[in-house]
Amino acid sequence: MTNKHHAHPNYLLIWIVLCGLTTLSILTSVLLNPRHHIEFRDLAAFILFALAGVKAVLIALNFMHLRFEKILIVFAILVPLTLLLIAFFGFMPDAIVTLKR
Amino acid sequence: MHQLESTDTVMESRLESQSAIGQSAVGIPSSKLGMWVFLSGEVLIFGGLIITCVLFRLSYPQWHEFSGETNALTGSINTFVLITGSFTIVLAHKMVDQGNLKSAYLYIFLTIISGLLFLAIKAIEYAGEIEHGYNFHSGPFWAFYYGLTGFHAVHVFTGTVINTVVLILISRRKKPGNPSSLVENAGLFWHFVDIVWVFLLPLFYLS
Repeated sequence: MTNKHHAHPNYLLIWIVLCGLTTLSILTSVLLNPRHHIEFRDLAAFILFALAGVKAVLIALNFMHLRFEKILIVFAILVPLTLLLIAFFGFMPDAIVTLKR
Repeated sequence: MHQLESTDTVMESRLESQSAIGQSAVGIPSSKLGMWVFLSGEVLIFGGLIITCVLFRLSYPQWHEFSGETNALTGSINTFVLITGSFTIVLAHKMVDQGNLKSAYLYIFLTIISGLLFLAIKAIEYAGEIEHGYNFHSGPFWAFYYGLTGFHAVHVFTGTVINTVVLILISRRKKPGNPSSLVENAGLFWHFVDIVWVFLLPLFYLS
């Protein structure tokens, strides 16, 4: 057998935190009600996607064991994410121009 | 007899180095490295679709009229279902590492149930929306909604099939060479599916 067993974090705690963050997202949506209150749309979107990002990082680091993996595997995910960010900010000016029209 | 045994050991290590459970040239098990390379491609696919959706959303203010028609309750329930499925599959991996295979079977089975539950809720949701007249051709919001969530649902179905195959393989009398690797790689795919849904929830249901 060549697969070394790595450490196992406290999965129950991570699951509880994930459920808590999901509940927080739902509460944010209910309280700010961005579907009906235009003035809160941008704030709600920022908070909701930030919470989604935190959840994604928690899952990746703990459930997918990225914390314990070699840096090469971390790069396997960081490289496409970087390319996506470049694409997003690259196309953003076109989206804003369309909006202004 | 000793000569035969040492020949067997040599053959076994040769087979291992050539197989998925062997180490790649970078010191990571080949199967795990292969799964991560596959997931990096999936990040590009889903990420590309999601950022295209976000850019459309930024471009068209009337987008928000349609987002109010999705059911935030079912979307939220499905999020809890997938998060719990991620929890159970990673517990299965831990149980396999500890040699507790009976618990591993139970946790993999619970993960399969979570996948089936997600798909059932999704099917009911789609039926309701189509009944209300919202289909793929109802506008850019609904095209992205059905496209992205449908593509994601295909991945949930695939993950459920993979988990079922893994459960069958590790519960057979003649077990695979490295059950931990099997469960871990199945779990990696399942966690990725969960991460994608974590971003689809705010994109289509909450904001």
